[in-house]
Amino acid sequence: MATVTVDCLRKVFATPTGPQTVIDDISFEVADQSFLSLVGPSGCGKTTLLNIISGIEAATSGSVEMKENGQAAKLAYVFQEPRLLPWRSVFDNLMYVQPVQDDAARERVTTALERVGLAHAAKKWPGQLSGGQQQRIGIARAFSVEPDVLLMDEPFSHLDAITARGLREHLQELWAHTRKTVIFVTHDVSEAAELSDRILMLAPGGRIHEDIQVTLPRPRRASDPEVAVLEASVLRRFEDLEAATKNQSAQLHSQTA
Amino acid sequence: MTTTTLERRAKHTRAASNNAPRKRGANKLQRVGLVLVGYLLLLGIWSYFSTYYFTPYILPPPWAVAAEMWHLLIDGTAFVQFGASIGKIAAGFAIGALIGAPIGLLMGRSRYWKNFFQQPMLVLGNVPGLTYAVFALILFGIGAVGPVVAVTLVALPYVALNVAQGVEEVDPHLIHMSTVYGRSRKDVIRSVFLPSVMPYLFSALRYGFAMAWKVEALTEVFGGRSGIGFMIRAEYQEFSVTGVLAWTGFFVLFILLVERVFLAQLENRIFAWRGGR
Repeated sequence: MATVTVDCLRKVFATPTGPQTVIDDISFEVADQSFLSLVGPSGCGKTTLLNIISGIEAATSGSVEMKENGQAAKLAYVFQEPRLLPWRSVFDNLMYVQPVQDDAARERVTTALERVGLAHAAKKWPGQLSGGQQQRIGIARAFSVEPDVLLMDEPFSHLDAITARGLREHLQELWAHTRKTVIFVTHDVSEAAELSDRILMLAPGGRIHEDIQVTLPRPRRASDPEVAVLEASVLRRFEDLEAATKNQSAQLHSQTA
Repeated sequence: MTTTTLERRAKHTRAASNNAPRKRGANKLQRVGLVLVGYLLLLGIWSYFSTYYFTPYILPPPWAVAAEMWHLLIDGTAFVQFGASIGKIAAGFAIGALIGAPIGLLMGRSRYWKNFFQQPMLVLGNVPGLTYAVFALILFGIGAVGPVVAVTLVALPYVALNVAQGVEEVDPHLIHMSTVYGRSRKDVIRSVFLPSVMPYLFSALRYGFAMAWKVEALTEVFGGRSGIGFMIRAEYQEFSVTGVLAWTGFFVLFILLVERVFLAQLENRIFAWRGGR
């Protein structure tokens, strides 16, 4: 039972023009074994929120609690870039994140590499792999530690459309197999519609604009008609949000002028 | 027609991949050949001037210098004097690296220490080697201490500034990744910091060592009791240009050996991961 509880979270950055609120009093809960996507326009605080959840950044106020059967949940993170150690082989990159370097860890690593179809690349250097393969290694690394909660920050945004589609399908298979609690950041509405159980749409200024439950059957493909309908609906709300934001900033601008 | 084109292209690709090792071998041979031609040209110019423009007393021909080097090798003098120089360089460089590496680490991690050390390190690095040699002689007199101190002072800023740069260049994303996956401080230092700093440390080793050799030889010329610099001075005092050139030849050969064989192999091994795509 891995759950994530985000309670009254705020993040304010000090900038030369004064304090800037990036996350403004956000609260939500992520259920066990669910796939939650955070979507929103650029600069709405998605990555900052994920970094606070992971412990990379500290919150200004509020709290994040991740529990697995009453204990601290084990965490893994798939970043935008693969973030592999270039001086370690693929296998050693995965071994690096294992809490204990024993035979069980070696077996987990081998299994994770097999699952992403890169067992044959175990002895290669990351620099010898393509961008898509490196990202698959990043995903394998995350799954190899058998996390309770998996955080993913736009993991396919740097890849070409075909590679990204293949990896999305692969991720769905892995998730169906392991049923980890996932928080997935993306600015791609189609990706969110294809992968998620729930979509949290963030507004500029770091507020939750809308909480959308997704009940479509799995496995899904981006080309499925239901997914396309959901995508169109989310996209429309996204456009409404952007229009409202533009109006607000125009009003603010005219008031100050 | 398309099939024919594709077949032809596939055949061409297969032929190209079969020819690849042969082509690589030919390229290597060509490269070695060019290097040899360069050396032969240099020796040819030297031979020409020593034969037609200067007396052997002023500029002995290459074969006379080679004979002198052979003689010094056979009677063991070369090994004894080289041993003396290498010992002093190793000691000086080790002390310089031991002091320089922590200074570089501090400079790379903290702006305060960077401001504190940067100017002194730049000054130390820009002082001419001759000044170190003269000061070492004045402060420590004739003996082994002077050259060791001079080498230490040459190596220290090279190591400190390079390590500082290496630490500054460590990718913070890799540190974040390590933090998320719960790696200890020791793991991060061993698996992220050290490999990141290694290319800079290696560069310090390579250039610092070359500089240290020159300053060490210079210091021995002024105030040594042994070593290559001392032997060059001894041969000069006897007006033996052949001897001076023979010792210089050993010096050059040793630098080439260290640079092209030892350091190049070490570099290939340590940075094998760079040989990827």
